[in-house]
Amino acid sequence: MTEPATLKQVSKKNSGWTFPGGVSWAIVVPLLVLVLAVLYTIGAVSYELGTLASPKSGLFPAFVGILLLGASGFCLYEEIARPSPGPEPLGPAWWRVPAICASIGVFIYLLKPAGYLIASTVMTALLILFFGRRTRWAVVGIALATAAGSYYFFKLLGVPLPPGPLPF
Amino acid sequence: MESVTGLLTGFAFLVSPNNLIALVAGVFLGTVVGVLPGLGPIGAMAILLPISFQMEATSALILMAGIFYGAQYGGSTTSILMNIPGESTSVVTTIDGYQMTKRGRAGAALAVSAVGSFIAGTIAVVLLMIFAPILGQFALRFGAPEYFALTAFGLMVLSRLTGGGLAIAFMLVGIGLALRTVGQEMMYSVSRFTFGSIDLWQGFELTPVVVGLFGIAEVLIAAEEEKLVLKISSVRLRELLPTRREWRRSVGPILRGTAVGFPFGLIPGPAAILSTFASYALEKRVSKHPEEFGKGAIEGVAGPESANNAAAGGTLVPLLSLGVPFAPPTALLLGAFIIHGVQPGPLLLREHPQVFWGLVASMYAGNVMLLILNLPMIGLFVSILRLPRDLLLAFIVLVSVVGVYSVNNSVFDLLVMLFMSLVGYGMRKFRLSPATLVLPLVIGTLMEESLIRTLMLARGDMSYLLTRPIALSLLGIGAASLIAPVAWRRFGQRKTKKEQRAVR
Repeated sequence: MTEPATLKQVSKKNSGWTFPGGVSWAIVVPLLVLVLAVLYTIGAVSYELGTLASPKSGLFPAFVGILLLGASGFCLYEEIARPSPGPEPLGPAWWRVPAICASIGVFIYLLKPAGYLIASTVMTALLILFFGRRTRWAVVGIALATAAGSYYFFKLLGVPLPPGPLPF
Repeated sequence: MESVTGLLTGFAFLVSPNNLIALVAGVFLGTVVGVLPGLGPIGAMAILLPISFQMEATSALILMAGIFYGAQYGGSTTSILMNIPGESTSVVTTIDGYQMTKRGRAGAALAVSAVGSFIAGTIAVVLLMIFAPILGQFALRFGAPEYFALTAFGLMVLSRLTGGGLAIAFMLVGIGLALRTVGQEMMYSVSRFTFGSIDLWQGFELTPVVVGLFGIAEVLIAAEEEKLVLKISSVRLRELLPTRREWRRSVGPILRGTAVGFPFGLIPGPAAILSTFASYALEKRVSKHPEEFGKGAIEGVAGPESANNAAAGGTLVPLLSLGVPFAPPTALLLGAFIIHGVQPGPLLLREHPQVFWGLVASMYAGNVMLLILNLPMIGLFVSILRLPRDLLLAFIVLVSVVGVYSVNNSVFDLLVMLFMSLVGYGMRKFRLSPATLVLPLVIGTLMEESLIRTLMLARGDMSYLLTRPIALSLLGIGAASLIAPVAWRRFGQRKTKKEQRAVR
């Protein structure tokens, strides 16, 4: 019962996010998939297709490519003909999304050269900092305790973690 | 008789320390994620999937299944106490459950919900034990054409869950299948779409994709909300006892909820959610006091809470007997099976009896444990809601990244996880179900192999599928599930127009 109202709300909130002619910016998704589908299909037919009676490794990807082309093309047409309400609005603390991703990115970057302890301390500190509810000293303390505690926990489970320059 | 022997064997497997620990951990974690709004069983299963690699297959699957049905129990707690559904399957419980809390009957609502869940869960396991082997025996007649039809059927029915139109569903299915084709192909040993990369040569691992799409994406959604603290009231143990009248009024709804829920679990789609609405509507219809619904009627809690647990048991029937998931959580469970080298389906009982019967036995024991966890220990779960959410979210991220890394010691997998978490976040923003992307990734290989074999068998003549009754039926039902909602909507629109014309 409440869904139409929600959609209406979302539509209103996203009314600024349109291209000329009132086309929703949600058009970007099928457009992107269509471009990728074209590239994928070109790649698929470059493998040996064989025949229906004697199929080779390119046949299934070719079918998938056709499915992707058809579906994304139709989505694009529908989006132009009847623009969808667009995505749900971002949350009030939306900036945490790229911040969390960046923290994970830092962990990935540091993991092999600096080792698990340093990488996880930095990531945990950044995450708690971005959640913004604790003092800097508390952030450092919690990050160190979490990294050390999780290090021993994962070691206990037999998870191989990169040591980095640290001796343990 | 065979079932009884099998069940006893299952209990013999279950009493090993590893399996018991997995069971306790599974149902405990399931209740915790059920209690915590925003973190669902799919996210929790995804996060723990890589860690379960260190475990034996039966233990890992007992853990995963425990999380799945444990979450159905825990989901009602916040619905009743805070008017916030812990799970989507507990949305209906908020209607009368929270009203009961406002009237000082929170304890009774929680107790009836736990007992109803226990009864429904146990009956569902008995029904699962009866139906899964029967369906499995039938599926033994399957050859390559039937398997192709089955995978196509699975994709068709699950694509209806995507949340968008049919074209969007096919687009997501196509993306999932395309991802599956990356890497070394098995039949002819050809590397496809690898661009010379060794990481891509191995193909996309399921774990980083699932952890990113479900686990980290849920953290991103939770983190963008400003408030990370929840305020809740406490429940005392002595308040948990419902009155005799409340018990009497709950017995019928619990049994009817079970009867409604289990068949719903056998239908592809968001069965558990729909079953709660169906149960609520049924209770309101048969009640002598329909005016009390919405104001704290205990039937409005007992019926739906029993229905969602029975539906959870029902959804395991097609997964275990056909190897096809009918709902997103079972799609993830299928992934867990495959990762551990166990193919659910008609041969499961013959090839891995310890897994099937161990799982069934664990569900019996798990339901008893959940009753214990959800009655005397309810205070503990309520206090989990008081945990600082910033620390909880940071911990979830840490467990996820370590879990993904531990599978192959691969930084590439972590990058895939990070990318997929953004994809999962975006999909939620566009109201699309990430499960539609995961299922083709899980069954894509089986689909390709069975299609190639079918084509070879039929000498390229696809009409051969029409001569195979099971394959034809599966494709027919799948196609009907795609067309029926559209046809129904069109029929409804035409009817409304006719009525409008008649009024004029």
